Amino acid sequence: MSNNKQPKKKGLGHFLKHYFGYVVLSLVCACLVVLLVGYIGQ
Amino acid sequence: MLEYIYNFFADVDIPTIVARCLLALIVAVFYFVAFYYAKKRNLEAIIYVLTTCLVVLFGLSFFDIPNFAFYVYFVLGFCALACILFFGQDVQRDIFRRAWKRWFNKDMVTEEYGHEDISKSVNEIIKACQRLSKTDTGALILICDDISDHILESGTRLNSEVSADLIETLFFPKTPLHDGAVVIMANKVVAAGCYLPLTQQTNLPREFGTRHRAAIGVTEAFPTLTAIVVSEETGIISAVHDGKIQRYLDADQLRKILSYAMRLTDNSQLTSIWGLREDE
Repeated sequence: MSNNKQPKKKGLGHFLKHYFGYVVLSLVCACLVVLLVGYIGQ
Repeated sequence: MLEYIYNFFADVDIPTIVARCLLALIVAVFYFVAFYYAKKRNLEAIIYVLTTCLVVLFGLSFFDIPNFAFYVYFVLGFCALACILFFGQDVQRDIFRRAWKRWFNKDMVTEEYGHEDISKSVNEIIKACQRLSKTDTGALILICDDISDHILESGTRLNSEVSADLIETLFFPKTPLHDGAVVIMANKVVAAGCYLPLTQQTNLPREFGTRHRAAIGVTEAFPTLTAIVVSEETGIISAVHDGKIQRYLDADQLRKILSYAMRLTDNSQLTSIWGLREDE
């Protein structure tokens, strides 16, 4: 059936909560990349 | 590597810290985009592969491996290329199409066509859909502001006023134009018998035939347009927008959807009609 209910607006907080794991994982990966690139470039 | 990590946090000047932070931020955004689309497309395996590759490379950096720089650049470059190939189209679609949709949504109510003209067209489309539904005649109608010329060229140009009789006639079985889509643009039937790209989704219900798949496919490629589908097997009227499908529509629901599609209602109606996307 069609969705006629007004959905609750989800903001940045919801987005960050939903993807918090991926945000942390991305930051960890970014740190590893910076360390690796810095190490091989020294 | 241990020595490098120790030196990494010692004796660094401000420009170096800024450069490292910027690099980390750019890489983090790249990784997050890749993870985000991997999750959205149920390709979580890519997340594990990317992370594992990086962890293995980092682990190997503690050993004295010849040509280690080559391996690092090769693996990182390969991962970046794979991500661009896998998710490039999704990113392009989300950035450009959605941006156009939000910021440059054209108003169909122009000097040439007022609200009354467009309301009349909406009524005609509803009437046509109901008649087609009663006779179990398959139909696919696209309502759009703009669409690729390739799609229009694949059919026959018409440029005629919207009328229920015309739409019914165009979908009458065994006629040359009945098998494609009718395109309604700027309150005119601009083309009929148009061929559309099919969706590549594999998890659709089996009762969705080529017509539904074409409707989903074209709305994935052009998220601003709305497709109305009448099933040939069941006569069910469905509407598709931005890859989302709503089925079993009655006249009121169809009117609401068409009014939004033809810009009789403003963008605030979007969520009440189609709900929020998973990512919103």
